[in-house]
Parts: sequence; C-alpha cells; structure tokens
Amino acid sequence: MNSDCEHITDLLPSLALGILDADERQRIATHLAHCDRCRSEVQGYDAVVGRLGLGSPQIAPPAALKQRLLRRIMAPEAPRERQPFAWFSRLLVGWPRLAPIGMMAGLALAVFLGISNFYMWHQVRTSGSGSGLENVSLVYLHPTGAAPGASGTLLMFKEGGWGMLVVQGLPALAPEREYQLWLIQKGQRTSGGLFSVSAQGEAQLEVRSARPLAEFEAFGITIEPRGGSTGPTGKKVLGGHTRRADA
Amino acid sequence: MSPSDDATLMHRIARGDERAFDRFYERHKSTVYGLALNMLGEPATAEEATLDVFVQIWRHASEYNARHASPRTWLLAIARNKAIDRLRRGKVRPDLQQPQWADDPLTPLPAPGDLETDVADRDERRRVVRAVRELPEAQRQVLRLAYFQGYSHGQIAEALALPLGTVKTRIRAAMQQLKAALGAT
Ligand SMILES: [Zn+2]
Repeated sequence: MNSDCEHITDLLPSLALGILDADERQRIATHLAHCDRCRSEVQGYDAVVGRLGLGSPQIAPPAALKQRLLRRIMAPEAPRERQPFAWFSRLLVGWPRLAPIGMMAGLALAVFLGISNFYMWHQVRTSGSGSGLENVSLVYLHPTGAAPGASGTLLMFKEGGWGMLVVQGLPALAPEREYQLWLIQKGQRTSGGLFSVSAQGEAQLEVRSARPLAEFEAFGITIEPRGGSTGPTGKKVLGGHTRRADA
Repeated sequence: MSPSDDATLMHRIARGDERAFDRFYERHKSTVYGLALNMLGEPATAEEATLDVFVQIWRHASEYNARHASPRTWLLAIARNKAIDRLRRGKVRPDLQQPQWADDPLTPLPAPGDLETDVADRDERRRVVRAVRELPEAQRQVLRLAYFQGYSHGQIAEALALPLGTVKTRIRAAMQQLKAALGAT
C-alpha cells in the first residue's frame, strides 16, 4: 500500500470492467505491479464482473454448434498431447553443461515440461532431422526489481525461428494485462508473443520468429495492456542476453 | 469435490480430456450463448462468439486460476470479452435492442446435474439479478453500457449526455454495491 492507492482505487472497478483507455491502464498496471492491496481489490471486482453474466437470460444454442466446436478444437494447429517423460532423461543428461546447478533446481520441472513439449513439436515439424542437444541453446532471463522472485529460460534451436519460453515466479496480472516477450536486435524490439501465468506464476510460450532466434542479442519481458503493444511500454520483469558469458 | 464439478472438469480439460470438455460445454452452453446473444443481438454472431469462448477454454484451461474465481465466473468473463471484441470490431449493431439483465434468468434450466447443484445455481442467479435490480436506475444505466457494450467512460458520458465525473462516480458506486451484495468469488 502507498500514497497513490487512493487515486488508483477509484479506477479499479472500471479496470475490472475492461473499459479504461490505454493511458489509465498503464498507470494502474505500474501501480498494481507493486501493490498487493489494490491487486486483491481488482480480483474482487473481477469476480463481480464475471458473475454479472449470470443475470443474463440462458438460451440454448443450436445443436449443430457443438459439431462446429468439436471440428474447431480438433484443428491441427492445436496439438495437445504431452508426453514429457520420453524426453526427460535424455535432456537431463545434457543439462549440466548448459545450466549452472543452482539455476536448475528452481526451474527444473517447468523447464523439463516446456522443453519436452517443445522438443516434440520440433520433431514433428522437422521430421527426420534428428536434432540433438548440440543444436539447442538456452538463454536465462534474470529478474528486475519489478519481479524479484521471477526466473525464465528461453530454449531455442540454433538454426530455427522457433523457441520455447518457460517462466516461473511471475505475479499474476489483472485481466487487462499480459506479459509480452521482446526479441531484441540492435536496439530494435520485435514482439515474441503474449502470455499470462498460472496461479503458481508459471507459463510456457511457444515462440516463433521469421529469423533464427539465436541471432537475437537479447530478450526481455514487460507488462503490457492485453493484446500487446508495438514496443515495450510497461515495466520490465525479466531480461537476458544470448551470449554465454551472461548466462 | 465431486468428479464432475466445474473445477475438476477444468483440471481434466487442461489435460486434454474430451469427455470433460463435452460435459463442461453441455453444462454452460446456454449461459454463454444467452449472454452472447444478449450482447450481440444476432444469432450468427453469438454462435461465433460462443465458439471463441469454448475454444479458448479448451486451449487455455491450464491457465484457469482457482484462487481468483470459480470456473463459471472465469468462463463468463471470457464470454463477455469475446462478445465485446466482436462489438468493437464494429460489425454488430448495438441498437436493435438494449441488452439487459433478466427479470428471470432461469429459462431453460441448467443441464441435468444433481439437484443440489441446480438449486445452488438458481440461488446464485437470483442473487445476481436481485443485486442488479437493487441498484439505483441511474447507476444501472451506466453499468449496462459498461458491462454489455464495453463503453469507455467517455463513450458513456457522450451516449447519456452526462459529465465524465458523474459516469466515473456511478460506475464505482454501482460496482462497490454489487461487490458488497455478492461477496467474494
Ligand atoms: Zn494500491
């Protein structure tokens, strides 16, 4: 809690309703990033907004809608299988060379799941390439003062515009905001995607880029309005460089 | 926790359980479609919005945060967002009819579940309707534009020819009263 609370509190109901303009949202986001009291107040209003929908009449949709829904969720762009353990031991062997031991402990489970998922996808998409760990590189993202407990790892194949970001310990955001990953090259920042975190502060994001990810110099994550920004506007929570020396 | 309650279903959906998803859809489809149709006014668009909502549930069930809201509250927040997305894309009329909270939101009944769930469900819907009805009309009118149409403070002020400060005050007062009446979660 601090002195801007009073001013911010007035806007929290409208934040939960999602009707603030970008300036107002930005101002509140900055405040919420470090104010637990206002964050929990927003959550209370979020719950009100959610429940207001219960006051709307219930109307059954046409029966055919379910078929359309099933077709849509079976669409090939959304494979959901997870079989992390087949890859688990294989990756474990490669790890000590890539990661300091202390780092591993904190991130281990989330990263394994992320890597395994990613690995499978990659295998599926580059059938027969037989990529091994020698083609994989990891970039560690270090926390800023805005998210002291956070950590992140970006896993990428050296040749591909493909990666998997795994983060831990990031604060959950109000629904009006999302985290945004930035791919940085010569001071230029390209969006690498948007994500939100689970109750435990974890998330995985599949990252795609037109150019190989390993060619970028650095990566950063900021808090942005939902839907993302064209360049970073909010607080930076994590960042890291490609060069091994920084890992 | 019964094996078919919403939180358990959400957990199963996150693991890719299609039967759980089917069950969740059947249970909530009328709530979601009813809200979408109320907001969007035309069945074809409301159907698209309903698809958006459940596809998102299927793909992002793992992001559901049990600490903050019930699955249904989360679902309804997504439903409203998807409908507002479509309103803001501007392809839908907002003026054929005014979206409104129901006097009786209970037609048709929820999908067959156990009796206790149905009773609790009805009670909760009634509480919401009552809480909205108890707001002063001036506040309800402002909240209606904010909730169903996603209007900003400025748009509401313009639509109702009110000073901006009045709009902000009414929204805040309405939301505070609802929060007090509906309690947490
Ligand atoms: Zn505060």
